[in-house]
Amino acid sequence: MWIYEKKLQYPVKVHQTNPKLARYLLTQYGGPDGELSAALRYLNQRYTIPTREAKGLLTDIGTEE
Amino acid sequence: MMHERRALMRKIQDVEFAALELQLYLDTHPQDQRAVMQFNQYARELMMLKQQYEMAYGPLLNYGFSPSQYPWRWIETPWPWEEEF
Amino acid sequence: MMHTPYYNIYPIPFMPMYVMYARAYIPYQTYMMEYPIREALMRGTLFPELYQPYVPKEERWDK
Repeated sequence: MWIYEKKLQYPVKVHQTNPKLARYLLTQYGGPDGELSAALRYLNQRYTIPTREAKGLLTDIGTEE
Repeated sequence: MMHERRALMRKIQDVEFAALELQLYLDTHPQDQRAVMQFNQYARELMMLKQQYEMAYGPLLNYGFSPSQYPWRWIETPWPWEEEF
Repeated sequence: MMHTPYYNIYPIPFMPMYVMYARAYIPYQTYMMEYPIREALMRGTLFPELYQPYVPKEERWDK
């Protein structure tokens, strides 16, 4: 369904080790209200949403997340 | 050389983000002709930039969506987390 | 982009012609101008009308 692209959406430069920040990021990324579960939620909700606009939007937002 | 690669990647990121934003907008505003034209313009520009990038620095996509020069170039360029901007 | 005395509030005709009580409505986006694309990536949106940076509560006009 998706392919990998060797590129980030936003330029990121990792220049220090910061465990406190890393914890926040990890939660945001993989936590229950994080990016990953949101993406999957969008992509699953598309199957039952009625309108064409919303199907497109949920697909594209889920992909973007 | 390294600097040029990063500059081109930055340009790709700029254009792709604009295209993404218009994509989402158009999902709920499919009748906006000006936005469709803008979207197509960015899509064309993005295709050209990526082609240029892949010729110079190697494939961006796996699984046959980007051709590779010899030797196999997929594993040559830095991965996103190794990138320095 | 239209300017108002309030940050990020636009005088746009966003409500449906006929509305009902006890229903929630979402303003329909009106797109007029875009940010330059480099600026858009940095701001996280291409659309000025959707730019909503985090502002600490004590600095907000509507606190």
